[in-house]
Amino acid sequence: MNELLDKLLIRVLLAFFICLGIYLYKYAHLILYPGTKNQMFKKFYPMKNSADTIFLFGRILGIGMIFSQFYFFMSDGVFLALFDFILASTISLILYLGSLYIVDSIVLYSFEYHDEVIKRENLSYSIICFAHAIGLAHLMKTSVTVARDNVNHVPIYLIFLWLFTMVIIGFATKTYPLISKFQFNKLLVQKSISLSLSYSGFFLGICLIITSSINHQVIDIKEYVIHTCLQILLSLIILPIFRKGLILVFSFQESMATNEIEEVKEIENPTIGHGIYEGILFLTCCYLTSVITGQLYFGTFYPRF
Amino acid sequence: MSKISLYIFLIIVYLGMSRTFSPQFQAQFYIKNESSYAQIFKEQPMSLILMDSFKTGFIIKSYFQKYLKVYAFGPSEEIIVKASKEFWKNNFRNRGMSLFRRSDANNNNIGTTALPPGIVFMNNPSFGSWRGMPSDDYEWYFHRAYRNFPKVLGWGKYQMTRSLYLEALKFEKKGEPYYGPHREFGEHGVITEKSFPKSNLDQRIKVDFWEHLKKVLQIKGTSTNE
Repeated sequence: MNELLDKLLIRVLLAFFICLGIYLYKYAHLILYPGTKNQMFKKFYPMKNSADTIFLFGRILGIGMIFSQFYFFMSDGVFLALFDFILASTISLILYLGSLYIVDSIVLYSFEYHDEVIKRENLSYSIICFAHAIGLAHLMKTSVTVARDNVNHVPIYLIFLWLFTMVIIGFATKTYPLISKFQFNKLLVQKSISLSLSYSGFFLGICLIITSSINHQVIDIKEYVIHTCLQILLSLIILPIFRKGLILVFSFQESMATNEIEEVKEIENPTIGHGIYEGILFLTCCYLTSVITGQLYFGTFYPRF
Repeated sequence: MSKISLYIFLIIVYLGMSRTFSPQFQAQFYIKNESSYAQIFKEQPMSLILMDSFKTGFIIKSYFQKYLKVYAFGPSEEIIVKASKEFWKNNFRNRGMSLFRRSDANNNNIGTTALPPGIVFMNNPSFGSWRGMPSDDYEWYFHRAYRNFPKVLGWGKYQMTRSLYLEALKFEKKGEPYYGPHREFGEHGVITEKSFPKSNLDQRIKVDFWEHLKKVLQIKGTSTNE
């Protein structure tokens, strides 16, 4: 009984530590968005501003996802277990917030959090930020796993993996206009939910592909980088096969317009259905692609000499 | 059209990059035809014996050959090389035969006709001598320093005679393979089957489908083996 109670106490203690990590985010939020001091430290009414609720819970969920990847090795004592946890989680948390800031700056460079979420209650902006938070947390989680399972110097490799994934994700986000016909900035100003759903599917999709590409053994940095780039290239080859296949099998019609004028109107004022279709199709294709690129083991099918 | 071109370009870039950066491809020798040997194998005197031929792959096959490099002044070595389909097919029946020989540093003294292994060391007083036989023929004996050569070259207890050697030279002049007086060498040859049996490197262990199905459907912990 004593042992069980002791274990429970340790779990409660560690739960407090995770809460402390989330609490620290409140202050990190102030650093990332300096104009929100009053808003962060006064009472929060989720019913009043749903955009802010989505935005905030996206971040909290993201931080939770990163924490879900850590272990507590109790064999060496509570102090050492906590020390390892605090060290790895602090680095991961800082890097995660850094990646959120970078991606938001790249994608939403002409929009301000304070203007869009607090003043205009732009739900579209919040959904995009939510997708960023979830996608990047998934990416960070995989980076932590790769660094921990393959190498001894976790912090150094974690920073390397973070920098590497940031470069890839930075380039990848710029390919959205190639995937979708939606005009990103124009529709975001119009608070288009359709755009946010389409973009969220796109962003989560590319995060899945990048995650699957970086999730392999690190033996040599150069080989690792080449292998990852080849995996991404392979995904680019496989992805259109699934896209074409799904469209062909289910006879998806991308437009209801009968002439060019209607088509332009459709793109300028897209329906939610259009956004959902674009986002979910891309996400599904990316998921299926990650299965082919990441989970196909040839074993001894091709003997090596 | 531009999308298809872009897609083909991506495939080419992927294959090219994979080929360039793969350590497996970088380290592997490729034999296109007979003339490729001289560029890869520089040692002399040496004999290159084909030990096995096999192919791998699902739809697009890769062709491999396994060689035994017998070098007079060093240890013999087994080498697996990739070969062109045509060359692989042409030499499929030459298992156990010497496909390349270099007698000295001069590039003119190389032979690429399929002959019984070890011909390059015969009739060379540095390696051995002929000894008379009751049948009026001569048998080749290696010096003490090379006494393990009959075993390495896969002769075993087979007697390599002067008449066989001269016949082999005649065939080499004609550019035709010589498999021995009673086809002892080459695919299905008695000596070859004994010394260089097929290694079945391309054959995977066959798994019985029903056994596999039983294993898949078996609930862990319900095994009745114990």
